[in-house]
Amino acid sequence: MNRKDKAFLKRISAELKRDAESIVLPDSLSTESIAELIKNNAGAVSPDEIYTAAAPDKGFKVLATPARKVLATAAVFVLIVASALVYRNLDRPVLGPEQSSEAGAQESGADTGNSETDIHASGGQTDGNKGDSDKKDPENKQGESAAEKYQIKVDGVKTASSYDEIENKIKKAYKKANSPGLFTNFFGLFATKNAVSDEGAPGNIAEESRSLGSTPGFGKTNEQVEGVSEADIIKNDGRYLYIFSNKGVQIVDTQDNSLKKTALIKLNDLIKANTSGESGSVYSYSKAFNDGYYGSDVRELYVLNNRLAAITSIYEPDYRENNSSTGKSVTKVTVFDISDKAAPKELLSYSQDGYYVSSRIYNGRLSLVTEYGIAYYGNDALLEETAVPKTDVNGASGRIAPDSILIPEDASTTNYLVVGLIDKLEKGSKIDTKAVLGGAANIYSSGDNLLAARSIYSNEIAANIFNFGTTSMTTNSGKSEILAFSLKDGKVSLTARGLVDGTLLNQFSMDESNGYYRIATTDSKGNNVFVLDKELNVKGSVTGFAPGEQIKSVRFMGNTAYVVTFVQTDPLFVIDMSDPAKPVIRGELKIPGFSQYLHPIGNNLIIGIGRGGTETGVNNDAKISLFDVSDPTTPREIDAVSLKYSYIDTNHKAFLSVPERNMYVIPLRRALINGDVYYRDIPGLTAFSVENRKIVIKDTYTFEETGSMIRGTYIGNVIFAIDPYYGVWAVNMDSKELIDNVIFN
Amino acid sequence: MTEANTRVQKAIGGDAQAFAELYSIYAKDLYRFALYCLKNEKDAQDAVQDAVLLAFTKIGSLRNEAAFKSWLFKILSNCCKTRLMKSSASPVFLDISSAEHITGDDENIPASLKSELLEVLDTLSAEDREIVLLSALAGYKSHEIAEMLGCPSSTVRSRLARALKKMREQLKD
Repeated sequence: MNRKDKAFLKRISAELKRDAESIVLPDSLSTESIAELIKNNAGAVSPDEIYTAAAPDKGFKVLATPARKVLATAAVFVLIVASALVYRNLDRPVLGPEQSSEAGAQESGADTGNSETDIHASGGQTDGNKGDSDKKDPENKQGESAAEKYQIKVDGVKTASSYDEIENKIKKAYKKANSPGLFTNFFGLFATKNAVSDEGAPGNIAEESRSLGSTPGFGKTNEQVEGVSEADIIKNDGRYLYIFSNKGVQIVDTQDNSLKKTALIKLNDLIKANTSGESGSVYSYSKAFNDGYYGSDVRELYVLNNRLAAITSIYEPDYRENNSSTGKSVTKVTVFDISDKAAPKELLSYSQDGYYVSSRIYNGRLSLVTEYGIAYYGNDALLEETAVPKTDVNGASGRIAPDSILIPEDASTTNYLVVGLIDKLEKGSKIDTKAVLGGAANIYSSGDNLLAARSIYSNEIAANIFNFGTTSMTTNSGKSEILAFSLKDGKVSLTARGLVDGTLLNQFSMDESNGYYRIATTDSKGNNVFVLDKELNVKGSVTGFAPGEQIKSVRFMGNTAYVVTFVQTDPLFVIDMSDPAKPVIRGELKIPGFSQYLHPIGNNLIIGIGRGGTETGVNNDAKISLFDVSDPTTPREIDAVSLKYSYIDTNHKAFLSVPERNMYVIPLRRALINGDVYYRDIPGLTAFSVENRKIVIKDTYTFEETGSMIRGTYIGNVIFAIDPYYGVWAVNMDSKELIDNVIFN
Repeated sequence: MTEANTRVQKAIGGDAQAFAELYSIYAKDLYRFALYCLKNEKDAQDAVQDAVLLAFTKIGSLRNEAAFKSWLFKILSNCCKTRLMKSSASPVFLDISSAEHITGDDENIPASLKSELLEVLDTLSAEDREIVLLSALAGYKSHEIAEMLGCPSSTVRSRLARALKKMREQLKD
């Protein structure tokens, strides 16, 4: 563990333990009580009962022991619908439990195991051990012949001439740094603190263009750019739901007012095929892995035109190094033909080294971006294996060819940014992969392009990192390197490289419009918005605003940029971008708390969701704001709803629009409070609309005991609440009745 | 033979009191862990009781006192997981009448409420949260956690590092 992590762990340990001090062991768990419990009950509980309670085909079981109350299994639910337009301090009566007419159907656990088809990813395993033969063979295993060497025409970047050249470069940089422990930070020293994931990105919803015609509307992934698909943990095609649970991809049929599990693509099968054939590495799966529980923490998918692409990322440890945790992450895309929903057929599997950063699908082409850490530790023999990332196509693996490895000047030598492109979601598709030396990035795409922005630091700071293992990264004195790639014709090519001050928050910090790129960053002097041309030269900028604050959300909409910065209060900046050479701040609004997600809804109104606050900082409330930006010089917050002790999932993909009902649905986790005492959290979905310039909370659906945040989607008048770890509930939005539910086992 | 091993011997022999004494060394840690995993007192109590009963039933498979702690936590961890996965079949729709339009009041947040750290913990996946809790709260080393969860210790290390990084970024707000 690196020094930063150790220090942080120490800090949170202290805080957690201090927090835990106030927790009192209840009487029922005292030594005496436990002794009594054992005496009275030993033998009443069989190990099988506890371990199989959640097993498939057994529905639900309840552990009934004399020492505790028996839980009722009847499905009961309590529904409250908030109906008033605006409510202040209303004392709502709580309705009592109602017996649902669905109770009978609930009992069996709604597990229609018979119709479920288990899919085994067929991977086409060849003897994947091509590592040795690769050394002498510079050919790219994906079919690029030696004759078609990739030519690069970007200043300051060249391709590698050989593997030796790369290894030498890495060794040289390592000697210079001369600090062995630092290379064990898997994400690399030069990764920006914001670089790696898209999580929590504020939304930038494309204009809704679906017609409200005769086919029922259904939920679509809230994507940054219309036409450019983003992967998500749930997908909806208007009849089937595709949910990436920790067991695998569950395909659920929602027809005929019921939920039916149609197929399961097992996670185990998706990830097992990754791990054979690497020469010399010893890798064994434990039972936990086989159970799928710890298999892959990346689980996202695409569903388009009868094709399903599942993305998984696993860590392959390498036990040859006894004294450090070396290994690598490998990210894989598995493509299925789902013309027959009950029997998905694998068409192709492609993996590339590195931990998943992001992906997109545009015009049927899937781009995959990962960050690959180079394991060296001064061990030259190890470096021969790890200096260059590998790819694997349907079981045939090999290193990326030297001419597909791009080396920018002054690149950090601890990581690669790897960009893979699958031309078609079909068997035998051509695949191109390039690796760029240097760390992870935020990714943006507006079509057949990819923009990658990653932090680099000045040599001075780099020296500090090497020598002392830490740097005051909070000063954000770094710059960001911007790389522009073209994905045309199924080939990844670097087209431009630029540099801007500051670091980016996430994918929404970038935008493309009318031939220009716009980028929002934060640095030590303040916050900036840059306009760059296609060659990534800075054309215009506004810099240094809100010094000392950090960008919390960004939204580029046509000729205007909305930027939320925060330290104690949230200034919302409105920036006029109509002249690329001269972006200008028009207006500013200071309010408590901050928005992490901005969603324009027309009529110059923007919804913001995020955290509430007071004059001195953020509090424990979730907040929904409504901004009027009709006058850019005076943006106003015209309404806000504060939800006590609650938490909104501000991941942009979690924001669901239901245009047919003029409604928005967000995952909201509420705290159940009794006076002063916090009892527990209840996850759920909250639906609201904007009426007469006010936020109106419509319905809230909450789920008593699932642990995770719920995601929502809908088809017609049915809303589906999905807990990817657990199952799906279908509720009629008009009658509020529970229609059906399925549990994933 | 040490006193502890005597206790284990007795517990194996069916001595409930001896077992309870062994348990008492870890009682607080077990309860806290369950509470952070399941986030409510009732479930945490039930989970600890489940784990204890199960452990007593299975104690014949335990070899020595040193292994007791991680073995017991492993059982508790599984009980918590089962509880989370099992939960309830039925949704409960609750009132959100305490949602109110902002009045600008400065609320006095009760001390018993979650801190920002705990909230950030909640944004982790259940598996990652568990690893962080076992490490930060219960103080286990990664090889111990690996043993409890049944996965390679390098996996624990890399997941822990990733989870800490994620938490660190959020807390920098």
